[in-house]
Amino acid sequence: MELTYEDFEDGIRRIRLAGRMDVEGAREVDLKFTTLTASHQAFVIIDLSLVDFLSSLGLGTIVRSAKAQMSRQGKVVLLSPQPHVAKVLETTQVDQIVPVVYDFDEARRAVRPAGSPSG
Amino acid sequence: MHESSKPSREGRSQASRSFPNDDAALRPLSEWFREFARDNGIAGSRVLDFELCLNELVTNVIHYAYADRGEHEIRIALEREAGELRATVEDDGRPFNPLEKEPPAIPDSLEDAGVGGWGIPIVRAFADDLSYERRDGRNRFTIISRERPESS
Repeated sequence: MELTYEDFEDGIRRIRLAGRMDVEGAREVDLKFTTLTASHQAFVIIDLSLVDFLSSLGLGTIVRSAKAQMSRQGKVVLLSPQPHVAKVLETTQVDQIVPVVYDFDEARRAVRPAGSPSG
Repeated sequence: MHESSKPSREGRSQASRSFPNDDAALRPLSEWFREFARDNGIAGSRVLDFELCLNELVTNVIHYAYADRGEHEIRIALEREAGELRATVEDDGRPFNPLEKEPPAIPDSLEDAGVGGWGIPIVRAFADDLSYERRDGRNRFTIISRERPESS
């Protein structure tokens, strides 16, 4: 599992995950992922386009970060899951509580805090 | 233990293997399953769906079946016959039928959402059939995937 990220001027952070988000994959990125997504207020777009497998434990890692951001008045949005990953999000209805979008500009609009400068 | 039979013209093949009750066994399990699927000409979303079911079931066994921290063997048998793909997962853990467990409540909000409990609901949704029995002191789960026109 690989994790890369970039920060934008409008305070949005894009995190790209690549590989298998299973037990092993979640553990491989856990510390870095938690630090980047949950340790302080952030507006995070998690790009799932290169994640080809998502298990329930990997999903837990993502939902924990979304809950942590909610408690810090931040936000997490999921971007471009592959069909199988999207099916997991739909089956568990996580897509009802964490926004899932398929376009980066739409993701920026969905995650951006109200009143922030337009990017 | 690792046994297998090549696909036959009669359309039936099977393989069986034991894995330790360790998270590190999950990727080798997936690789073994994918090899079986390849050998049997099974492709597409059906492979991913079934791989995820196996992963979730065995994760459930590893994390919840055993009262002790000792080493245990999880036996898995794969079988493909005609259009049906079947996996049987057997463990010697305490009696536990996850199918009796209530699925997690659908949260109204992220605030109310739990973090977990999705494994068996995923298996229920992704497998065509799922059953449990307790036999000879062992838990035995069977999952079945049936051929779909678009995926094999």
